[in-house]
Amino acid sequence: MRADLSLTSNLVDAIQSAKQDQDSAIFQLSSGKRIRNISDDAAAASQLNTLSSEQAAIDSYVGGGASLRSRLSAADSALSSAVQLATRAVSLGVEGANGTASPAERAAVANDLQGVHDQLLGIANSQFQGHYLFSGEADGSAAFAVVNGSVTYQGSSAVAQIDIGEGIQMSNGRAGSVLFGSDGTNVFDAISGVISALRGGTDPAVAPASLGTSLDRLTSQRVFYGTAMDAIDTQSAIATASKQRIVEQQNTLDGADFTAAAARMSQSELVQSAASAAFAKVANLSLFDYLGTTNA
Amino acid sequence: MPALAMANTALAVDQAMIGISGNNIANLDNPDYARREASLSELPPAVFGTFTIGTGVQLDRVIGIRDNALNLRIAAEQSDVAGSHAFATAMQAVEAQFPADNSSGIGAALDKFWSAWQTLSSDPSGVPGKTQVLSAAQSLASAFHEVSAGLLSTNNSVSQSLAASVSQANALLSQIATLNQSAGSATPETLDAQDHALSRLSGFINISVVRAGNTLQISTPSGVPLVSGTKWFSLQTSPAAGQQQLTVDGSDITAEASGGSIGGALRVLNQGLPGLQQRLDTLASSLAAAANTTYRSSFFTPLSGTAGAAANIQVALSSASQVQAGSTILSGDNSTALAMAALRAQNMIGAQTATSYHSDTVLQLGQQISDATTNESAGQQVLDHMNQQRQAVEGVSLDKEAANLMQYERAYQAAARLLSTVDQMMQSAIGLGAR
Repeated sequence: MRADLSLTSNLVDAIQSAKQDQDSAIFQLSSGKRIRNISDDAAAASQLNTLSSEQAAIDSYVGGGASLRSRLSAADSALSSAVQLATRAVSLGVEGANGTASPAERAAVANDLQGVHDQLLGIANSQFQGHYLFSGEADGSAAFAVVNGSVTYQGSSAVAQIDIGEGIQMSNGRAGSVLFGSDGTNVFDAISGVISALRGGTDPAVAPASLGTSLDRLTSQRVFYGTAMDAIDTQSAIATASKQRIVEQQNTLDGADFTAAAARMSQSELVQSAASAAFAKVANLSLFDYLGTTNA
Repeated sequence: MPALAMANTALAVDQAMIGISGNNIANLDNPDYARREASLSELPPAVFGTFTIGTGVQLDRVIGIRDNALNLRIAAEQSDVAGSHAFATAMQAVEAQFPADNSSGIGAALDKFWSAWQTLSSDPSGVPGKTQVLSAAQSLASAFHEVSAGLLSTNNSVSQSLAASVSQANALLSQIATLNQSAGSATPETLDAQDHALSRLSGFINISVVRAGNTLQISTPSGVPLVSGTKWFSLQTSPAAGQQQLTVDGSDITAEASGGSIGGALRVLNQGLPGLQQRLDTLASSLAAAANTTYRSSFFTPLSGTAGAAANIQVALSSASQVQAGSTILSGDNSTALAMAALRAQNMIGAQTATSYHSDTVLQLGQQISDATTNESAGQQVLDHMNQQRQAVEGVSLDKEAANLMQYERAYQAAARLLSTVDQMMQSAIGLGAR
């Protein structure tokens, strides 16, 4: 029986497999990962692929939500000024409608109103990062322009949608015609009506009513912006939770078990040194060696 | 004088025995060497009237100690292990292109492509968004190209090693046929050479072996002859319908050649790589079709059929300014970008999204490789065990040879003493005559 040789080849095998064990333990300890190649655990690797795609999707929703939120926030603060101006227009209208006001006083109110009108037009044509906020999808050009003496809506009634979560879309604003009113009955028409009544000396009593309608419209439509920003915040919180879950799953699938890896590391070292020591012993294990020593 | 002749033959036989033992020791590390023993018999006795007296010993022949049945089982296991090894090694070259953490490759490029559209939808007229979409699309196309090219280069290298294996296997078949010529008067050396050739051949292809006396009859598992007596039939490979065919003397034996490096290479060339290529092509063509439909014009250059889609997928646009985020001319229209981003979750291939289809590809590839490596290491354990058994039978034991050497030395000394005793007796006899 060739016991001595099979013993050495067994020992060589033992040392080799200890080396492989050590190699994989070192990979786990240094990378913190369990799977080096997809064939190490095909099912887990396939799940990891899906998870990382989910993560990429969530990241892009979060990115879309964040940029939408800054746009909505810019629009909301513009609208806050617009509401203030419209409120002032209403009170100026009431002041001008006062029957005791002199023509000079009415002219002064009309001038004030003209200022409010122009500021409001400026706000309605606000831009954010080069885009007109209230032009709908036609955000490359101003929302309102003076055509034949009256302010008319130039934008689109269509409003772009943005993905802010899995299957959840949010409008990126309200069209100017919705916020400020349709052509002929918009807030600018209302103010201009009061101004021409005051300047023409007619009684502008009905004009403040249309101003009030415009203000109400603006206030109620503005609510959308707050709601939308809240929705984005909610989605962002959901996204954070989802990402947390994904990271946990990734860890479960691919995370190295440090204790086990460290244990295997020291075990493989033990096997290696034991096998090497055995090798040194076995090398002298032959009858010839004994014959040699007894003869000498 | 029979006693003198008897001492002479004994000395010669003992010397031969020491020679055999020496040869055993010298071949200690020769893996193809089967331990040899001498077969001795008594010489014809001298007849003295009614009784006979022995006349000594003679060396009949030298026998190699081997277990033929065990060797055949080892050969079969070797085919299995070599086949799994060849398959796993080739597919591992491909595996590197599918990183487990999805940090690069097709899966990552897909994710970046969808995300680029999503980003564009936030700023549909922005140049950065359009540039990002174009470059993500180009990276996606080149990810497909790279993996395809990787498959092709693996295909080429496996084809080359298949051709090399086939020619080596043919050389072994011819060698076995030649050895069969001298089967009638087979020496231990011939039998060692036979075992060696058989063992190497089984590393190339799975075979069925019938041993008739010392003649080896080799055939495929289903019985297509490879070596019949002193005739041998050459293995040949030929491409047929995109597949590699293995034939012998006109018979197609591709299906039954499952083991050895030839069987492993055939499995890579006919199943592993084409299967993977087909999945990549399906993904690329479905993706291009879905994208073009959603984009309402050619975003990717239209592909002619599924075959070759992964290697040929190309972005049709040449500059970022050509990227359309919306279906109208309005600068804030992001409907197309949204729809393209929504393809991420759309079922494109049967009931699967592009990502889930790709994840399945990863699963299948990983599973194939891990099956092969598991099979290889399990087979290797069986093989190690059987090799130990074989060593126990055929291997040279230094201890035993050391004991044998001592025994033969003593026998030689005894025979020499016999010679000197006979010599003294003869001297005495001659001395008697001198007085």
